Amino acid sequence: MKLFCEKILLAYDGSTGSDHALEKVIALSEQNPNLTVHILYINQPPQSMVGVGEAYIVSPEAMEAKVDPEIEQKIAIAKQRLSHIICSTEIITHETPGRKIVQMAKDSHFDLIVIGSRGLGGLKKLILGSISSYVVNNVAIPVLVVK
Amino acid sequence: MFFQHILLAFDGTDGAEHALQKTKEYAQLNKNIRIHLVYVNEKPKTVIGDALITKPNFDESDLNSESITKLHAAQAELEPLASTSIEVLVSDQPADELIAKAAELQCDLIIIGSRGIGGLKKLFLGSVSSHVVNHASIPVLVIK
Repeated sequence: MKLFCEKILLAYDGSTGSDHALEKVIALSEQNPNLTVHILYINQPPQSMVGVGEAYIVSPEAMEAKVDPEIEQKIAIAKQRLSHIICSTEIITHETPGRKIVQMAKDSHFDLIVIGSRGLGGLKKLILGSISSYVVNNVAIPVLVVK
Repeated sequence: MFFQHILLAFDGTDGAEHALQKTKEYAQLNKNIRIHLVYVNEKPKTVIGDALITKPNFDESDLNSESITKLHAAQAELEPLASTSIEVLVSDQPADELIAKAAELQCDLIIIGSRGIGGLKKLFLGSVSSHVVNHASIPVLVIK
């Protein structure tokens, strides 16, 4: 029988939901020592949208926005906690994390995406929580959404 | 622990069959899990003029016997791997029903198939898994 999963894409964003997602991946790695995990953090350019006429564009300075050092540290700790298996990490800047996650899942042949769902209400949920919804609706592989 | 107490939403569709296979793969990895297979039989609806109404009196004959047969077959597949139970519910809000059942049974994971349907049908049918993902308070594993 096929294995439950061998190659996980963990979409990490530093939120409580994604911390819980990380814990689940660590728990799974203890049951399956042959697991490979790729931790992906997508740095969204914050408050960087500039209105040009009717369009919003991302200013070039923001595209090079510094990554929150707290997040960098959390990712380093996560990698350490997964040192018993093959674990890689990646930090990229991209305006549409959902699309980037879907594209990466397709290009790099992952067999499971683990993603946190941000516990936000109202309008914020509409905008931010939609990353996990977008991923669930647009990939062809299983997605574990952790709250 | 990864997950130990799983609610598998099973309606007999292709998506549900894929979810069953994934659940079996997970059961191979972890021998001590419990799996509740739950099928929510939607109440039949009728169009009257411009309105879509739910048939008021639900009886045995409205149960989808094909789905229920498949549900029992799914349980038989899982039985050698895990401790299982089975439940058929009747509701016109399948997503909410699944979420409530998972809470009642204190499950730590919902596994649900997502139907591979495009366009307008996706809007109506795929929405059960979307609704579960957005409203459940526990992790949800969506299988394509």
